[in-house]
Amino acid sequence: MKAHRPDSSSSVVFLPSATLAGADDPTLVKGLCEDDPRATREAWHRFGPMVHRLLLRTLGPEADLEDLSQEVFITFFDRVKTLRDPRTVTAFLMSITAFKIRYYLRWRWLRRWLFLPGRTEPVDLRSVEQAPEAREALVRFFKVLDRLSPIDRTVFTLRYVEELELREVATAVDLSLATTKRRLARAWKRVSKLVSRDPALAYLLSELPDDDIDGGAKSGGTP
Amino acid sequence: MSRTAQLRPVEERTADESLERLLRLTRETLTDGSWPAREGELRRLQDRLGTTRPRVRWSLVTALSALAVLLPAAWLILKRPSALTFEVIHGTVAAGGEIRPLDSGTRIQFSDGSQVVLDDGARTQVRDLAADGARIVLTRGRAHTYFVPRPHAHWQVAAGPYVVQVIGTIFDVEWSEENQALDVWLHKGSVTVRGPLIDGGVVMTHGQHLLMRIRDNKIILDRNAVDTAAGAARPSGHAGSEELAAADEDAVDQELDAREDPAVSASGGALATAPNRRGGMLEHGWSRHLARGDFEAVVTAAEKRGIENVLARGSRRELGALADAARYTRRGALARRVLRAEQTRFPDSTEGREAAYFLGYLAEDDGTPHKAVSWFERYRRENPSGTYGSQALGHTMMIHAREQSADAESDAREYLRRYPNGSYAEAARHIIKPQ
Repeated sequence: MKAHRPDSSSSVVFLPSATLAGADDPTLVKGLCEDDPRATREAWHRFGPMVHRLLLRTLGPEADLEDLSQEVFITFFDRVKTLRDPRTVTAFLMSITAFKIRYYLRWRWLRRWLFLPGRTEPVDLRSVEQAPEAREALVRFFKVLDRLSPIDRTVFTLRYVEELELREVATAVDLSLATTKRRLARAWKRVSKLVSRDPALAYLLSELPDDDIDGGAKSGGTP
Repeated sequence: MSRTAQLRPVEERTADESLERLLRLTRETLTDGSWPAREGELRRLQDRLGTTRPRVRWSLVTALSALAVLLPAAWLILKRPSALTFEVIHGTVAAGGEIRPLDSGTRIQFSDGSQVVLDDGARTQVRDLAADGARIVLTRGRAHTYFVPRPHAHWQVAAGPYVVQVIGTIFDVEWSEENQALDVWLHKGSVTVRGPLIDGGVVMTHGQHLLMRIRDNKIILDRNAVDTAAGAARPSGHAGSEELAAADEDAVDQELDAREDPAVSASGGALATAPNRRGGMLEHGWSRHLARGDFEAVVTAAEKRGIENVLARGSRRELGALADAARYTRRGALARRVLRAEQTRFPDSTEGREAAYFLGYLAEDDGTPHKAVSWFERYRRENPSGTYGSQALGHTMMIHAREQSADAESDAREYLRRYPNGSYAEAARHIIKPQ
């Protein structure tokens, strides 16, 4: 039997990996720029939780989060080719999300003003929070946040809930550092005032065991 | 440790602490964990990626088309005048909406400047309030009316079976239920009166007096005695006759104030010669202007005398008229100063006590709801059974409701307990209902 010998003209071919799970951000961005479907999937899985969390924390449980997430990613995939430094992809996506949030808040305001129908029923928070007092407190807190302007609300959430650095917040909302600081101080003062004027909120907080919510480290800080 | 021991009293928490707690709660509750990493969502995204551009374009076209339709509609909605509002000054509103005078000078003031002054014993109601007018039902007694002339204005005064159709005019009307008698004195403009004995209606012109006696089948249309007498008393052809008349009325004003205000009495000089013409809306100088809707004249007269001077030395009636005129002409800052002067100088007078209510009203207009609530509460505290008690409580309740304060519900309960048929009763029920 004749032993099989490899043809001298043949070469080793590396088949593409089924996923880009191990790829770093620049590789992922390169894949996106080349319309690699694996990159789309990986970007969705890698950044999806962050986008969802940002939307959820800024807009609260009432918003159409899934549709908004999709809008964010559609814009992201469309604009990713304009990204100069692929290492900043997270900040880039955060900036797109912040823009979508502001757009959505403005549109929601206009819709209410024109009496156009829209989703108003709150999302059921029972899956993420067991205590009814905590759920009610969150709903009331988001009603307080509804009183802020879209831009103030966005910077407030990015800084105090998402705990971004001041410079990151400023970049995300495309404002100067000084303007961002001013808006943050104003938003904090207003939210603090509105919270203090809501006796029901104070009651609900008093009903929560301190251990439940006081465990986290204080960050962002009072301005 | 027991749950109770873990709790901190609400009072101990500052607003910032509460906010910090809420932020922590938000961070800990709303996490990545709630991300629905569904393959279906990814597939939907991938499907949409292929059709993004046309979709965006259609969204833009749709949005522009919607704007093209909505903007004119919004413009029309905004342009459409809102219904008139009115307030009752120096009077009470009984169940069923019947307005009853407390003393002379009871006035129904409409937001367009029109007003109805009620004599003692008069009973009236305001119905069918619309943007262009209202229907005023005079059940009995005499009312002095002034309606601001406006295109398409639609005012009616119903007195017994008669209806006086009005288009911007000044007249007095009296209805006696016992005698089934109607009197209309027309001072300015024209009206049409319809009702029994005059099927086609009677058109009255300036200076006429109409008398209807249903039981006697009597209709008399003659010259208005008051206007005729007034005309005869004035020097004919004298260029300053109006000013003379106004000066007389100012003197009467001072005389009336002098009887109530010792400070003014001491400085009054020409009072002995002033004719005494008490009663009716032509009684006082500034009040007369006010009654005719000439608010600017009141403010101008005050400015001529010097606002500081009026605030320091003006009579109670002058301050009252100036405060009203300033409010009606949207001079909020001036109105506030006059009202504060009323409070300081005449704290025990009706005007002084009621100033708190109007200050609250102004504060609400200025967008300072907490200041407004503070004034309304002061008014209610100092006037437990005051004329504007229901209004003050109603405003307070609405402000609390807008602020989403829990006080709104207690306000609503108190309102329904005290004023079950009040104008804010429906709103109060609405506030309580969701609970």
